[in-house]
Amino acid sequence: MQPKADLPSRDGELRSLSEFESRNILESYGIPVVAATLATTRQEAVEAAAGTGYPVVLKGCGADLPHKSEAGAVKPNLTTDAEVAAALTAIETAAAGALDGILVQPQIKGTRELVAGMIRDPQFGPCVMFGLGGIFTEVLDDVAFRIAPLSERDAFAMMDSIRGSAILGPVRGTAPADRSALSRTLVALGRIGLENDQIEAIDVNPLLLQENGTPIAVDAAIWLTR
Amino acid sequence: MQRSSGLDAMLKPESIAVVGASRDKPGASWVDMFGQLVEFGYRGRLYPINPKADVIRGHKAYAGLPDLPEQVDLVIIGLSAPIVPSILRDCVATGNRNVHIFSAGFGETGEDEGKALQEEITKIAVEGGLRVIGPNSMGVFSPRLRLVTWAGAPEAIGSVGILTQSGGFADGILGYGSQIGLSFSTVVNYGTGLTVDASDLVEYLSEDPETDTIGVYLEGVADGRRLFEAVARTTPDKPVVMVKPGASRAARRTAASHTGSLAGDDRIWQGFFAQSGAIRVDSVQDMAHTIDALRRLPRPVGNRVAIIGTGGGSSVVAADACSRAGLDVPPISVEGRAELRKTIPAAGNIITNPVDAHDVMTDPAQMPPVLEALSSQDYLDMVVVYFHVDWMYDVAPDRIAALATFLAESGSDYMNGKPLVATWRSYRSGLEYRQVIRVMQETLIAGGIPLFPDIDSTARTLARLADYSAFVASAKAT
Repeated sequence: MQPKADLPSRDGELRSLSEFESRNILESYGIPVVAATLATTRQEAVEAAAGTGYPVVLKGCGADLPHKSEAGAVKPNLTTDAEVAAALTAIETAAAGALDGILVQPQIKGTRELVAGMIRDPQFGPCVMFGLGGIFTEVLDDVAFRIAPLSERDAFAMMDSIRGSAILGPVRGTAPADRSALSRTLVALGRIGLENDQIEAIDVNPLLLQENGTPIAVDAAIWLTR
Repeated sequence: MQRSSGLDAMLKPESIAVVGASRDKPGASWVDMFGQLVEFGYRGRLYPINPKADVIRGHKAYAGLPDLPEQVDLVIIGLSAPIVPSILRDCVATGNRNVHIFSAGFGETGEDEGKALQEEITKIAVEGGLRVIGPNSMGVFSPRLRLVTWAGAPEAIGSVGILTQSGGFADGILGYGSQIGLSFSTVVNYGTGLTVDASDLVEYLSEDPETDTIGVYLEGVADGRRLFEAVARTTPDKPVVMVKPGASRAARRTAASHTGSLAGDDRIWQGFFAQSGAIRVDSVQDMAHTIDALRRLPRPVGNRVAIIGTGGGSSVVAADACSRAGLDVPPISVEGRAELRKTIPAAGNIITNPVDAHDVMTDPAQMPPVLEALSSQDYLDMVVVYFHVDWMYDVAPDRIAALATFLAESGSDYMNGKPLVATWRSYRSGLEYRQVIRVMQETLIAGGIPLFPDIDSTARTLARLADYSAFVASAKAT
């Protein structure tokens, strides 16, 4: 099948795309993702931070850096030029040799953390995953799967099928989740899987719900088929 | 002559050869497939193959497939695994394309010799264009053709089709299903499913005019997506009720050694059920009761149930059972209570939901207006009549049969097109109780009123019925 996403061509052994490459593919499928600038010099990074508007997040960006938080390559809540400069030094040290550049993004304030993704199951092919995100993904393991392609009805039923689905309602004064936007995201993840055989898995964690209930992907990783 | 459509000829064969037919001896043992075919009275042409016999059970015996006077619709192989490859080569050479391998001892053993044999027969079957069910399978049961290769199959002809990887499950659903009034069109135990698998069989039963409801026992499938699409195409018109074990690690391990199946991630199977409209059940009994309810009952428009019975504690427990299963047990409205009060006396009767009414349960004359009142409430979709056998018997031994007879003969007339089912409880050991229970069961089954063995299975089944009904409504709407 001809790939529909604009996948970077790479040689040999590569297993995962950089966050920047990953987010661009999601964005091309209409999934809401946080704005990002990829800076390749310190100077570009400082300018991008100021241009984005504080607070910002800096992330070391490179293929094969999917676990960048654990690697010490994510610096959130930076509010001044000086903090940005210090963060750049720290990331360059932590991820030395694996960097394509530095990702500069606005700091998003989310009220609820969800997770979404796509896996290629050996029996069923592309399947979409959705559930509680962040630390709850590991603690509660509250996720549901559906076989792609998803209809809008499948996506809505999927949201209701997790045990913690009440988190999508109006919780503690926050607006209810924009279920239509969430459903478009889940449908799109299935489409990416169906249209791109060389994508093995997608992980969007967290998929944040903002105060007004709209979802936005603040991190994304795409793994390629070996 | 061999017919063109492969699976049709294979599952409704007009001629069968049994390779490895046992020589004559009194009584058919459970492994004597040829003997079982003869004793059950198979209607087609039968050819036993055994080079050491001239005649078996009155049928001329042949030395091998090349000696047969015609190509047959189905070849059954009952010889030990190492001999199977050479028989399959004979099938290819003689143009006998439809094969049922009864023998076990292939890939499912997990041992090198079995795996090598499985690879060998797969290659022969694929290259030779053979349609093969098994190995490790009991094969095909068709009461219409009087075709069966195992003992104890029921004689009744019906319209429930079953496909199963497990032979024990086939035997179980036939046995329990028959007890509650189900009868069958075709049952296929396909075992490992060498070149004919669950997807082919779902597609076949989906198109089969003699089958109106499909039951599936499946441990795993090679091409899940194909099965998913086959099932999803079927469910809007024909319900598919399915046991898919493997939610636990222990079950997945056991499935791997039983049928060599990859059970898969159960969370994805949950998606399979939600999206395809297949109805998931967990046991032989659950499947039988669910199929029974689907076939006999009108489709409910919602999941709201009324229960009429007797006993305070059991009413509370029943309400919980329904809620747990996903049913709603709404309170009776003021108007509804007033309507019921016209029939039900106040003393000792509590008109809420569940309705706890001694008088109604022991006086069949009160039941028609009560069913009419409950079924005419627009917030109620289904009604359960809950027999308290021990207490009803004590009031008067004939009350149970009287109520069952009323429900069987005319209960549905008072339901405004809504489903009516029954369940019961009895905790005493006396034979007199067993006797009235038997009469109650036979009367209700004969009258087409689904009867469940306990309130939990009642609740589970009605919840599935409501879910399926909603699925069909939304599938037809889009």
